[in-house]
Amino acid sequence: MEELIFEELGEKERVLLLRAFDYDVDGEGYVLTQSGKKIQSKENPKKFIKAKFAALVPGSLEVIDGTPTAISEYLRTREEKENASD
Amino acid sequence: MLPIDKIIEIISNLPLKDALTYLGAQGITNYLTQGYERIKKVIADKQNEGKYAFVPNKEEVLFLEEATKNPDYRQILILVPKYKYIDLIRTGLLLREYNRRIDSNIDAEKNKTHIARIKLDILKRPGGGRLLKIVKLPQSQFFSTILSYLYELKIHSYPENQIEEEFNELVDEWEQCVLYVDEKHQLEEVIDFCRRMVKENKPRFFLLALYEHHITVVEEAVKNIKQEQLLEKNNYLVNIEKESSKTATPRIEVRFYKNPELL
Repeated sequence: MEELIFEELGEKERVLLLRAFDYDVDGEGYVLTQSGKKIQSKENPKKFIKAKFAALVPGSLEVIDGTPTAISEYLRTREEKENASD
Repeated sequence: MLPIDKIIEIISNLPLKDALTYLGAQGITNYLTQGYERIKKVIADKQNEGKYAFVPNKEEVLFLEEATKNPDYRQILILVPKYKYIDLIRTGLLLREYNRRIDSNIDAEKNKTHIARIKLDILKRPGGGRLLKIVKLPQSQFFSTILSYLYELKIHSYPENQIEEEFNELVDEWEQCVLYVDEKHQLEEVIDFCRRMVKENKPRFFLLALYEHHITVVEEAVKNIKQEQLLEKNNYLVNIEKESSKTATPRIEVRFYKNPELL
């Protein structure tokens, strides 16, 4: 499996990365999609994802919840996809 | 401010994180200025290489990544591969690690804060109370006992969906059907626990003890209820695992369960 490099990123830099993919961040720190909508958490439909607590993962830039469970799901599905393509 | 060409030359040779930090230090906050679309493209191209993931807590993610190799997690993947909340198990292993650090006096306050944050996040999810029970399971010393029990069912050709059903039941019930025998327990109490479990017709129940003295109590209790033929009459099977290696803490684990062939 191709190694993925995990990094932490300051808030300003996160916004800059998000903006490179036409996302944006509103005044309360929520990530906005290209169409200006907040991104709902898959784990908790009542929760919207804040840039500070998001995980920004490849594909090309996917915004997911940064909780351990959401990241575990990401790692697991990534491994499954890699195994399926081997 | 440096010319755009110079900025591009510099960031092109930097890893993505450093390139973003450099742009931030240059006071660049967006790509709206004329010509900045070229900077934007360099950043997007670097991300599109698929090498980087940016997370709120790197140390936590590295633990979760490593947890893929954890034998308990691997066993869960084998036993209940389609379990809807399988990712909570890995979160449970992370909480177990934070608790271990607290017990070892390693950054106790910081680790308590991590645990509180993770639990609160889970609690806020729909059905959060039950999800917390799932997360709690890998933190229990009975987790390996439960896995061994499920493995036995698998050996007895239990279909995957039934093993998953058992696992789900155990998430809700394990605290009622396990007894950790320690200095608080007399032999008669352990025997009474077993009798009560049988009387309540529990599909399974477990005993666990560490150290020689408590192991002896468990062995005596098992001997007694076997003599009463309580297990035989009620179609229970018994599986005893005892570890007495010099390097590890002596331990005994007894799993009682209804004979799957008679169910």
